[in-house]
Amino acid sequence: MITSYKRTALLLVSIGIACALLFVVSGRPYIIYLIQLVAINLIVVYGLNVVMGFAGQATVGHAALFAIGAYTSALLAIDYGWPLILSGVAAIIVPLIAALFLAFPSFKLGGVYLAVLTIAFNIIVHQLIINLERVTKGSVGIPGIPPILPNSVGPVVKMLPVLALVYIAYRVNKNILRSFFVRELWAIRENEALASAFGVNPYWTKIIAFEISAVFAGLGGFCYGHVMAYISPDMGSFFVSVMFVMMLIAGGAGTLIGPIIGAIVITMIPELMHELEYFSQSIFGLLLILIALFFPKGLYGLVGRFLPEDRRKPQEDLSPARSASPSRWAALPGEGTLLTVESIGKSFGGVQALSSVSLDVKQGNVHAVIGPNGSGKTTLINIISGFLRPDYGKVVLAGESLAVSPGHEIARKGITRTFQNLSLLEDQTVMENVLLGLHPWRRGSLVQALLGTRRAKVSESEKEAFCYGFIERLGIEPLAYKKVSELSYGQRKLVETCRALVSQPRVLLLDEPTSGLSQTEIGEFIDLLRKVKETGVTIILVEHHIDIVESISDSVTVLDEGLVIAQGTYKEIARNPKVIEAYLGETQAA
Amino acid sequence: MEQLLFVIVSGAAVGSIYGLFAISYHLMFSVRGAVSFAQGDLTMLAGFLLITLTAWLSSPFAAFVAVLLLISLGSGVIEKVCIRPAIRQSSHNLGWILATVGLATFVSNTSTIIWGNLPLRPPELVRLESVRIGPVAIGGHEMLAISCGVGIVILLRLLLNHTIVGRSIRVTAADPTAAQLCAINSDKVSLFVFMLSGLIGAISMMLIAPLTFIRPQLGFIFGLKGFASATVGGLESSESAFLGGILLGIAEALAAYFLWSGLKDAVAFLAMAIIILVRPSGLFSFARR
Repeated sequence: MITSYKRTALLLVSIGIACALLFVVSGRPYIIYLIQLVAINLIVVYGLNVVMGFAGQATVGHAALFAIGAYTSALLAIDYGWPLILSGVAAIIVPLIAALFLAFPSFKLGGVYLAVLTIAFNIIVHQLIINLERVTKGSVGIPGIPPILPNSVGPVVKMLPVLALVYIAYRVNKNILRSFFVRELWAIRENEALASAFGVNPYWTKIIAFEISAVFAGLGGFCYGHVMAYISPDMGSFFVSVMFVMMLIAGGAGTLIGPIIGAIVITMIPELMHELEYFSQSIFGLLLILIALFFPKGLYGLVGRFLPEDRRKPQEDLSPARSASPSRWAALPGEGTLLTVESIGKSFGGVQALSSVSLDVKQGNVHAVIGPNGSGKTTLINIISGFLRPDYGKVVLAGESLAVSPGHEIARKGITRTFQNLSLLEDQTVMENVLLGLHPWRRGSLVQALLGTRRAKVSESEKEAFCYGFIERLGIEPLAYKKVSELSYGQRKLVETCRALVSQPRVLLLDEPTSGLSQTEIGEFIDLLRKVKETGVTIILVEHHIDIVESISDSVTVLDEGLVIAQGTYKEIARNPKVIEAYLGETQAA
Repeated sequence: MEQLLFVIVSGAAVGSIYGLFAISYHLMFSVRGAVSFAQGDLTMLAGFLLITLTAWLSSPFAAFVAVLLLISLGSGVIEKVCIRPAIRQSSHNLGWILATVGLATFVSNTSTIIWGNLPLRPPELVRLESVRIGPVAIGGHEMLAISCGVGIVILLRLLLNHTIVGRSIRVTAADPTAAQLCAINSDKVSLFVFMLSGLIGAISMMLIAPLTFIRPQLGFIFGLKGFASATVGGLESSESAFLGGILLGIAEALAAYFLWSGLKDAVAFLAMAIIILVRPSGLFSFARR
């Protein structure tokens, strides 16, 4: 624990060291140049960290936005005499808009298409800067760009604007890491279906992350122009993008300190190896291959255990009083049919997965869907939750037809699902995973998250307290701040269920929740389901364990090869000869 | 009118090359879900190797064969070293994208170091005259490019449909696990497919060479345009990918002729962006979804 005394002492000592260093440095312009170069690169890399580090998207084109920022500000300042504040703002806005045009098609398909389009964007912008000579002065470049602060303030003070901007970039990253937004980015990185299942719109969230990175790229370009006083099209070449990516990955993508390490190391290498400059691209190419294949976590991954964790710390005060947050639904649910599946059909190529499947689920019931493997149960879940579009038929929730809504909208309307193959954020703690369950109904303001306001922090701690209540109820409090990767399979299933419960759904879709659990765990799970049912949640349960179905289901639908072969209570369907035949083969003599 | 036809034909010839790249990407993507960003640079390397090896071996044909072998092997090595481990490591695709981008940078820069920055011309293997069809003179090399392209498409289709190897490829592409259950080694199939892509790349180099001078920097963007072609035409089949290439080649040539030649490179990617927004499965894909 760092007490406030120690903290003040630490602060004073750091200021003292910084002053001493600055004193030493002020007489050596080369070091000042290096510090600023690292800082400028760091600004861009912190931006890249948001879209590539947190969200895991392969965007390799930031040099274009960097150059656009620099050229915008330089041209406005020199040719039109704009004051630096305004040209600085322009240096942010122009890349922002350009990035938007790039983002719309690129994030539709993502993955390799994203990489190709961002690379292509980079190359084209680079060519445009060279070819539009009348505007950009072409390969000659633009000299004589005015500095941010006049030379008279001295070399050390001249660095301050850039250092201030780096600090802002750092803070924004830190604020994101402490907010709800990072969970959405992590979810997208892990599995976009997971993100959708918890109300996150992957397309728009990725675009927002990209725009944030565009802002910092433009800002970095602005700094570059006004610090270096001369810019040329080379600053926007594809190789520069590769360098930015290297800085991020070599340092440690998705961390707070990683970008700093990466920026320092990768900026220094060409500076230290002047003789090898001719070979620098080849060397960096090889380096990138090595890092991508063998050190994907970067230097931070290697030395991270010795550095302070930038993970969320366990909260001290998780008293129930703070968890007295509003529940999701204003009114208590009524009676009657909540969810209706009307004649759903779906085929995959030649396979008819579902044919005219209909079922009714009453409010507050546990409705089981059973059937042999391949009967279409998971397809049905996927259609109800919006992950698959049916060929015909519709799903109606409380009178509202859901059929064409995408997964994230259906999640926001109150349907939460679990996944047959667990989908958890492996590198994060149980608490972070459970917090994701709030996203369909409780997010927060993105602006406040980015600014790191008091409100944002309070909101997060309230959410933690709320989730802690659920964690306790499921009996996993000792695991609350452990990494999911350290848990057993049964414990992970509990975490996934906890997350689903936190979303306080109207309809909970459980896809084989007890597969892989031991007999005792299954018993505990049945008790848990009973408690959940008491809170008024309607449950649709895909199950193979008949004893579970027998003990807690109120109604059952039996599927076989895409058709409904029986509906009713367990007792009714257990006697149905068609059901017996589907499970056991031949009709047994009664 | 003559001018226009000429533009279209040269566009189709270059488009044929794009189409061959597109086929490579289609093949790679279907068996591994990953492509090599170094494909373009590797192809350029084929051209430079051809120049050097012709000088050493003093027979263009021997050099040709040697280059085909080298580049195919190289492609196979890339699959084994860069792509396979990256895919095994994690489901995020960042790994192989960055590894192959790094490789592309390495190959392109090393080629520049070895062969310099000035445009070079690989030796012609065949001397071809222009062919006169009616009032139009169509370049012999353009015809060769287009016919070789189409020929490769046909050969590939025969390979895929009528040989065991081809069938293994199609099964692996459809479902790698199922393929393994049928005793098909999907790793070997992958390796073969990547080597085949390398071969196609090397052949396309022979076709590009007479049409334009080559420089190391050209490789990467050729590769990218090949990917754009595959996206425009449809990544699902080699025919649709190839057609995408032809279409893009013609579109590019027309844009350069009617509009501004500085915009030429942008055409491919604008087309790609539009297709992704409007018809993501590609123009020529007719799969039932």
